Amino acid sequence: MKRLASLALLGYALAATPAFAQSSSLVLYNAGGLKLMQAIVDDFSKKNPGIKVEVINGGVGELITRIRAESARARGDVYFAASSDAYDFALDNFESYKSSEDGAFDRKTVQKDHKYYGFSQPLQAFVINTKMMPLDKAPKSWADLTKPEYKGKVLMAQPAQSGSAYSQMYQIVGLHGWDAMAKVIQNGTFVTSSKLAYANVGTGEFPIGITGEFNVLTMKEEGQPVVAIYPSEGTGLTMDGNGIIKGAPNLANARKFIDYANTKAAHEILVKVDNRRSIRPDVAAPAGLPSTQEIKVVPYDSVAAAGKKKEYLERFDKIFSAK
Amino acid sequence: MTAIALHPGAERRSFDWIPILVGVLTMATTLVFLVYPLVCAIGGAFVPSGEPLALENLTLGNFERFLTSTSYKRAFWNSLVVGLTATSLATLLALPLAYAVARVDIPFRRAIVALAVLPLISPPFIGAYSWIILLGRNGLITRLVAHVFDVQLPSIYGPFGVITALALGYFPYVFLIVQGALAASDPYVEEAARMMGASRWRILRTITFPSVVPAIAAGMLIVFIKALGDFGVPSILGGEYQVLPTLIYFQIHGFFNLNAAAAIAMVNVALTVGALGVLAWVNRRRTFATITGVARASRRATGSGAKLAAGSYVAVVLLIALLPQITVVVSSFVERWSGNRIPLIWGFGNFARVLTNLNQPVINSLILGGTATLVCVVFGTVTAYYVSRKRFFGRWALDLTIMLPFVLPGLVVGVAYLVGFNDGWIVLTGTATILVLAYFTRRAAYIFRSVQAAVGQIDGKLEEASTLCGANWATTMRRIVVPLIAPAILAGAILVFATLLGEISVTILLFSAKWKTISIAIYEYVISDELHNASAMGTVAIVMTLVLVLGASRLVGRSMSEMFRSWG
Repeated sequence: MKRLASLALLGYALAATPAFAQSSSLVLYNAGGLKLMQAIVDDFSKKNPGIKVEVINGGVGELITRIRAESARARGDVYFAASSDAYDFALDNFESYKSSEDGAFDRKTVQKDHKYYGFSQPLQAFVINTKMMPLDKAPKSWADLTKPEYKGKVLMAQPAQSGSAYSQMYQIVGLHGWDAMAKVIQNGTFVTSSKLAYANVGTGEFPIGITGEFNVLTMKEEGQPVVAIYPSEGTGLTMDGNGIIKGAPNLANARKFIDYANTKAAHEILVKVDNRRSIRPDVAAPAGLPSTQEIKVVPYDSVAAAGKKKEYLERFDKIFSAK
Repeated sequence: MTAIALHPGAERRSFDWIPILVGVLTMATTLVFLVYPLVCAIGGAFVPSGEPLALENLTLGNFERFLTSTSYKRAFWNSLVVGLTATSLATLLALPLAYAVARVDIPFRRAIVALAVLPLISPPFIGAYSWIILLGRNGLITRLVAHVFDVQLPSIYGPFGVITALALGYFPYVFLIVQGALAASDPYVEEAARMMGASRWRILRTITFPSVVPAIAAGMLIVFIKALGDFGVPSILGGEYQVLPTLIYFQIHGFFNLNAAAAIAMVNVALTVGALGVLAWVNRRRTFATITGVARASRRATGSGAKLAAGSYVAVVLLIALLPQITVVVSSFVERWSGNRIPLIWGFGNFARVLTNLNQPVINSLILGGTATLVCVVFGTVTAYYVSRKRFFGRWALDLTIMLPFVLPGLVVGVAYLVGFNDGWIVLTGTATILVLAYFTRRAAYIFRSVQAAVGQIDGKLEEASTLCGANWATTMRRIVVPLIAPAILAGAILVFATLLGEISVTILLFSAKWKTISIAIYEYVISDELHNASAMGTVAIVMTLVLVLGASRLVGRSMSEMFRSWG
């Protein structure tokens, strides 16, 4: 008993030694997955050998929960590759910083107080399993999703849970109103994991899903029978961005990182490693994705979308639960 | 010597400071690490979103949605249905299994019990996702059945899949506890009945079964709590079918509305308290058999018919229950498996790729899980002993405080810890300590319940005799009590450690770059769409658990049956 107790105390003492912060470190809260993060961190470290980068990987929602819960005393420095609506929903938790690369960005892709800079452009598209649905039968527009022939065939994520699913809903409502959205809700299957909304199309569980275009490209490269269809009314220019967390413990390094992440070189890594579309006008789209000249794109006002979020989600919930 | 024996404790007791120290430490730990974060978490349910916890802010507004919103009402109903059905199904599966292992002489019994622990450590996401690979509309088994028997299996999306996956994932709790009780229950009564000519079935119905009812009830309670709090399975297999944990997840990660989340969690707790009431009622109607010291093991049936039937049942149930783990292990050796149901390329590439990311998470999990288990053992044993042996004011409150964090969804406890220990008088975020403490909070109940049951079975006269002979409190504990309850402690410790290896709901909010666990490493691969690497990592976790569980039983030299005997 006593021996056990002293062992436990020893373990405690060992484990309790705090990870004291070094001025030469940087903590990234990464929502962009391992591959992209590793490539970016490697390149950044090469260019800034004095800075030790630590990374916390997670989903957009989990990381924003962390940031807000830690707001009295921030633990992370930079929120990396997170969807813009997550920032707009919690702007008070982010720090303004005008990057040295500011001039290279379109004004629409920078938050007006410089709280975050756009990074990638995850355009939303339909993903079709061609083994289950011939292309000529597949939906071509947001409006097509309301047709009765697609009942039970469309897979979407719950908009309350997934930022991209919310942006899909916001676009449908903006284009065709709530009557159309109500029909989409009737037709669709709304899963609680945004990953399943495309993974289950690739594996042949559902014929149609709605997701970010790069997911489709990656699945295709793995040999899955899928293609992307861009809705003919146009798909909104939604974006992922990088911003500094308010009260960042390593502010100077955070600024250095934002400056780096905004460079052309960093955006080229994004395109090369992860098949994602860069937001910088001077960086070409990845091979395999059409350029924004070939498909119709429309502006996406993420601030207005964030403002409507509560109302729209309650409305969604009402229609959804009456299904 | 004679004098001391005649006047027991007159002088010695005044020097016996250990119980006082233990009591003070226990109370302090309870207040700081259990009561404080819990008050924060639960209190939030009664104030509006974003308001501080104060008397003038109190409201029931967060609960309003259970009356007004259809999806809340439906989720409440769904949770109740899922919880009750999964618990019944798990029990129906587990009881014959427990009987077969405890009372029939089948081979490999130690391995069977060790394997039965495995479903409890289903790696995050990939465990439940395995069911889609196997039983989805385009799943391996679905297609096989359709091809061979021309029968279309029902869809696994929705309540059917959720209930089945939960029952198969959690039945080991009932199995482990009941088979332990069966193996240890007094054989003389049954033998007497047999001599008087009672049939096998009559003995089972009137003697064997009633004697293990408390054990069955205890196992069912754990399954009910676990099924009610599970987020992973409904999020993957539920389709549009929502339960209370999915609503909590939306409220926290979608809106950061901690108050609404706490309110939903409270409803979850209320359901569990109801179940606890039923448990207490079931137990009150039973008298406990007291294990006085050494009891002879129960007889096992040796007939070849019984052995064959029991053996086949065990094999079939274990095979089905372990399908997700088997799928994880198989796909960890597959390098490409997409767009096609047959693996394309086999190899060790996944393991080679995760190798660089393997050491640190494994070591961290061992340190964090091991330390948390030790803390649970010390705290759980001491408090359980006190609650069972001493009558003091607020006993029920201590009991409830230890049970609550186990009942509350992990996400809620995680946020409470993050907010409560990030700044102010105790700062712990970013350290290993916060993970150890959160684990301890969430798992202390396992050891507490296990030891409480074990102490209840020991005759208090043994300790009195030791005191009368002049032993102080520490000696009595070390020489008398702990050896008798050691199997119960070890059984609890195995469950604590094994389930901590897969813990994700609290870890995801509290881990730091230095303290990344094996479950986080798996989850990182999952969110990066690297499912094969996730499988390789998951396989490591599975193998680790199996080795540790088998090692533990070998080390102590007791059968696993004995370890789980006192859970009732």
